[in-house]
Amino acid sequence: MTENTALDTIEVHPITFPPDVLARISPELSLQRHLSLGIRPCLRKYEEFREVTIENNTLSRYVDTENVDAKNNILGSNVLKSGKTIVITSITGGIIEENSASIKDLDDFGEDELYEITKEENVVANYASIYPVVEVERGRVGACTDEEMTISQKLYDSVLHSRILPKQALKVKAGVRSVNEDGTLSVLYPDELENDPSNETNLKMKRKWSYVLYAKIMVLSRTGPVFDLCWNSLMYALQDVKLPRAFIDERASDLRMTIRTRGRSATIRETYEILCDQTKSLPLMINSQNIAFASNYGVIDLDPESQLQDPDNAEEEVDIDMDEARPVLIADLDTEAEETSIHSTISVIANAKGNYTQLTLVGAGAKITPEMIKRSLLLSKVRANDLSTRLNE
Amino acid sequence: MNVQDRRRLLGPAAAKPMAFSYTTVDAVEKTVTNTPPKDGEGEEVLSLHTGFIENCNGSALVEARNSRHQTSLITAVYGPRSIRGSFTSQGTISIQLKNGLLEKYNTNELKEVGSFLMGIFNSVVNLGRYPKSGIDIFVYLTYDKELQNETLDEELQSKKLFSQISSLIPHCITSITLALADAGIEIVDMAAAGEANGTVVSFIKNGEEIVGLWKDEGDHEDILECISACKEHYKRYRDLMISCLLEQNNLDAKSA
Amino acid sequence: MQFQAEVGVLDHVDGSSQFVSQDTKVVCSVTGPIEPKARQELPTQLALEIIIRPAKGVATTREKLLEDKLRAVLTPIINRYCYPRQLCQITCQILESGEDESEFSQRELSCCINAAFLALVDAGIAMNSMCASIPIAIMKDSNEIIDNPSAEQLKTSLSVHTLALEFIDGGKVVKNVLLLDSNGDFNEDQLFNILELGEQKCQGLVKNLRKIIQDEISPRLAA
Repeated sequence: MTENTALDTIEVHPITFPPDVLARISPELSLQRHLSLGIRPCLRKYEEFREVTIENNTLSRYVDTENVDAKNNILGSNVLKSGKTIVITSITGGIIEENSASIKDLDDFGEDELYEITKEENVVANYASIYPVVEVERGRVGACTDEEMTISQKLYDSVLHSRILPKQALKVKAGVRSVNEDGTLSVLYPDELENDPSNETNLKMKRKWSYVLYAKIMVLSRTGPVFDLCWNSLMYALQDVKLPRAFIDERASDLRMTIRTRGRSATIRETYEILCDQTKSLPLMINSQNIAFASNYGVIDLDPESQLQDPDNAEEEVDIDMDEARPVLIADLDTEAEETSIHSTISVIANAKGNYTQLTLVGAGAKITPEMIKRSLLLSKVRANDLSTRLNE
Repeated sequence: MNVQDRRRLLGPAAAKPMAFSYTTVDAVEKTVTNTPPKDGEGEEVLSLHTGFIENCNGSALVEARNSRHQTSLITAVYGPRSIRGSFTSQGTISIQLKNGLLEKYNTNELKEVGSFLMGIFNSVVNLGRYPKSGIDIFVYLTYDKELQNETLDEELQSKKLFSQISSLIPHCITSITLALADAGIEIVDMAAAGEANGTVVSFIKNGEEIVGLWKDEGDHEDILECISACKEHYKRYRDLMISCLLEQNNLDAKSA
Repeated sequence: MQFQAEVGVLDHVDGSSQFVSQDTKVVCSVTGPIEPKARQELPTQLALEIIIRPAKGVATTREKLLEDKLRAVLTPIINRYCYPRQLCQITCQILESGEDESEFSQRELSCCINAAFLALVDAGIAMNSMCASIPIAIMKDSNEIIDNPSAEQLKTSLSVHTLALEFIDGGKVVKNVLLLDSNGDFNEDQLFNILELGEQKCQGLVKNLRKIIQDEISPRLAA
């Protein structure tokens, strides 16, 4: 033993792991090995998207137009499945009394003129957003995660800046409920009585209300980044939202009463609730040309050292330049491996015409070249085109 | 403003939720004309699926529909996974019920049902096999809709709503049992339950053993009668679960 | 981009800076490398704790999203593998937002990025590269691209953008786009025009940032 220590060779035994074990212990290497074969761990090609299936409005109170579901307060809904992930969006509403000081008095204009005005003043201040609460289920209880918070906020910002929801569309055209001579109740809506001008002036109210829209987005079976899935689901749901008509009691429409407290008298307005009509509803008038769909991409350098060598062409391997890293574009990121090893990402919201409303480029990994950006914008456009046709199927 | 509020985008504080008027007359009229034909109350259609959620150990979807209502709930089982803290000789189960889209039940109600279910599954799961681990079960009541086929006056309807959570419990038990099986967690037997008149009885071992009893408001003149009615449901649900699992097994075997 | 910046404005932290551009004013402090809490610790690299505090009120989801974007920019430029199992706290206090906070956050984000970069250098944290960030707006009607738009200009814009670029070689070479966050209505051509104009402006900005650091450091070296 002692005489040949210098010559003693160390034998290195390669360790082999089954693919799923390798993916757990070294997601980066597993991803590179897959990419070198031209496919991804999810067995998709580089630029292949997951199939998306949707079910729209199946959970809403207006699902059956003949028979409104009275106990349901969902105004629009969508269930979106993409790969293994399921996103369930439900839109509900509230009503807020507007502060009369803050609203511009646009009452004297007709509907069409109003539309013209909002179109002209194409500034963000004329648009509203929806309040989303995203819940990504991952088997934990407690406070919401950073991911849930950032996705909610990003959805809010993007809806606002996409100029999809004009504030005008959320105004309540309140009706008045009155008791008829025979004791029955009936509701009159000002815009339903256009041929009767005397009535219309009677129904003018001093107070104004607006609808507020909320979205609850539940993500089940999260396997990768989910912002674009949430956005797309929200877009589908928004397109079918119906707003219930609202009315107030005639007696309360402008009622004041004097009260006395501790010797001082004060006039207060009677507090009453604005009620929603059980059956009557109006579709939400969104800016449908601004409806756009989201997709996401990653950029990663192919690592030449991780390339699987084909044993049959062993001689050719000299040609591979070990220093040159080739960047590739990966569409629709999914799986843990892609999420943890791809640091350069592009997230795009595009409409079918090739206009973009949101873009987030993060270059924390491989260099994002102009070609990559161009390619991702093009793919987004094609994808948006495809997704926008789903609703009519 | 509390801490919870800042973490969520809840909209303006002054906004009120929509209040729908119940006095519009034509709404009631319409429901009368559109009454679906009655087809024997007990005959509900049950559809079961397992293993469709990726980021958990086992999952199940139960959709039930009869002439009275339509329910859909999703169960996800996470575990057995390690727990923090000191050594425990057997596993601990936690069951959380969550309101899905319709915020129908209040948290206290859900907690109560959750702890009732926990009692059942503490005796159904073979906890001795899972020392130092926790099994967390989440039940999402995604959808729960009353189908209007009877014109009930409002008083009666609100009463119905109140006792309704008891009719959900058997489905919760079915879906948890399925999800546990899907997760490969050892259970003593397939647990299932039936409901009769606000009373829920849960069985194992071909109805020989009762593992849980839930009593709500309602007519309980003859408890034995309730039990035998529940036992009928139990057998039906159990058979459905078994055939669902076998089917799933066959599918897996084929694709493998 | 017109701005005033100062480094070393705070005494009780490892590094600090103040960055003012138009009506937007941000103070940033950096503490690190320090011992992390057990849940923050990363076995091979420096953990970053990034906090943004708003000019008024308490932090909400809006600040969470800003923190997320700031993290995306700072993570690649810090040499994190120099400090395994350590923590660096980066806190930006917005003193004046200089824009309508309910609709925009572009100005604040850009100033936070620049302030955080200066404070990191001041704290002596090892860096891989430099960064500079500017807000950009494309105006309605004229389609004019404006760098460092004012609050009023943001309000009447068609799209708003935040650009952060990574520089190496003494600020001469652009290595990568660290962040481009665009909102509004824009097309491909506009996007590339933004990148082009942004590159020029960021290059000018990074030169000025270097100057500030140089002015701070050279007296210390001379002493």
